[in-house]
Parts: sequence; structure tokens; C-alpha cells
Amino acid sequence: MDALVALAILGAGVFLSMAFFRAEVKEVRSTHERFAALLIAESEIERLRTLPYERIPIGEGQPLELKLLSAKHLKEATGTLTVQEIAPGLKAATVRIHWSSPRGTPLRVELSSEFSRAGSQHDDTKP
Amino acid sequence: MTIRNHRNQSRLGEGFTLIEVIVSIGLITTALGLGAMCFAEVVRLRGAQERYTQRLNAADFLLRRVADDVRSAGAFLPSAGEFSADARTLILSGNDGPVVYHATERGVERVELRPGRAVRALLMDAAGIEARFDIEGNPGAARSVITTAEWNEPAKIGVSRPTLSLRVALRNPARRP
Repeated sequence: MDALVALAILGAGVFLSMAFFRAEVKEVRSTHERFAALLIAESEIERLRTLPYERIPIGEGQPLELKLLSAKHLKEATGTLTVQEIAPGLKAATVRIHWSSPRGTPLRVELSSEFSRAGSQHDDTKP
Repeated sequence: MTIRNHRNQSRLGEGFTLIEVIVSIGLITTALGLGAMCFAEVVRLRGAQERYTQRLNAADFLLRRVADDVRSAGAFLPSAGEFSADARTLILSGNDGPVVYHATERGVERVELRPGRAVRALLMDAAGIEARFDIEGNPGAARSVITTAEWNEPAKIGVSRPTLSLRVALRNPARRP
């Protein structure tokens, strides 16, 4: 009886440890995907910086073509761009990157920045 | 009653049978073996995660360092000194002369080409990270570059082929060397 109790305790310890490691592996993957997605969003903001002010397209939820290599490693990665002219000569752009976890949970990051006609970009990006 | 007490006492005095001892040793050995395997796996996983974090930091450092240089550069150059621009070599016109990023087997080398000399620094001295630079357009007229760092990791940490890419645009494209 004593041996069985001891075994049960050890077994529970092993099981808990394995569950902890699985969770940690999942966390590493999730953190990496989130970091990669943030860099993709930052890259899309940078792409807008190469455009003249007039060519930054105003609209909501415009689909983005994600050409970066890292986007191919995110499951079902898609991106949208929302641009509004918040004041004459000032546009606010928001990039959203969506992807799925291996289990299919939808995930998302978002970055915003502002662009002025004068060409002085305001770097107040926020995750 | 007296007889039963006497029997119990004599049973207590007998100790364990051989079968009980063998079974106990077997169970204890199994439990210790499982515990040791679990502990070894923890140590391996910890080590793998530490190496992954080091590589991730090195890759992030490279991406940020290139981004800083691109933002302050005037243009992408097709060649400078001994270097020609390609997927493994990025050449920028910096404030004090051309700045070259060159991906090698050992890591990524940053070279500042000054008149008569070259100042070299090995960035990202982390084995196994592959870096590439994709200029978007012709080097002379391009406005942005995509830097990609990728490497292999053991599947047990959850990301088998980590890949990070960052596009950066020139901030002062009018300035030419």
C-alpha cells in the first residue's frame, strides 16, 4: 500500500512535469510567432514609408500581400491595412496580421503609425 | 484472542517475503528511472531553449543593426571595394563611406569602408544562422531592403525553422555618395 502511494505521487509528479514542459514548448512557439508577426507588421509600415503620401491608400481592411519569408512560416497568415486621413495632410495607418495557432486558434497583432504630407513620419508604433 | 495476538507478533517478526522485496525493488527502480528520464529531458529542453533564445537575440540584434544603418543611409550601392551586392551582401552609402553587411559561414560581418582602410566587426557570431538581404528593386534606385535571418532548431522546442524578416526603408533617399 505504501509503495503504491509513493508510486502514485511520483507518477503525478512526472505527469505534472511533462504537462509543464508541453506548456512551455507551446509558449516558446507562440512567443516566436508573435514576434515574427510583429516584424511583418513593422515591415508593412515600412513599405508604406516608401510610398508618396498621396499613394498611401485610404480604406478599411484592405488585404495585404505578405511577401516576407517569415510570413510563410505562420499558419494561414493574412494581413489587412486600414488607413484614415485623420487631419488634412495626416494619415493614420493600422496594420493587422492574423494567423492561426497549430490548433487553429486565431491570433492577431496590430501596429499603427502616422504619415504626414510633409514627409515627417511619426513613429508612435504601438503593439 | 491470545493465539491471534501471538500470530500477529510472529508475522511482524518475519519481515518481507522475497517476492515482496523483489516487487518493491522493481517498483522503486521503475519510479526512479522515470524520474531520471524526466529530469534529463528537463535539462535537455532547458539547454535547447537557452540556445534558441541566444539565436533569437542574435537575429534580432542583426535585424535592428541593419535597420539603423539603412535608415541613416542615402542609398543601396551595387558595389564597393571588394564587395558586390547580392543576397548575402548588402552595401549602403553611409555618412562616413560605404557600409557593407556580408553574410558568411561564421556569421554576419559589418565592414565600414573608409579611405585606405576597412573597419570590420563580426556581428551575430552565432553558428547556424543564415542571413540574406533582398533589396526591393535595383540597388541604385531601391528604397527598401528585406533582411531575413533563419536557422534550425530541434523540434522539441516547438519551432523547427525559426525565420525572422524585417523590411526597412531608406529615410534620406535623395542623398547619394
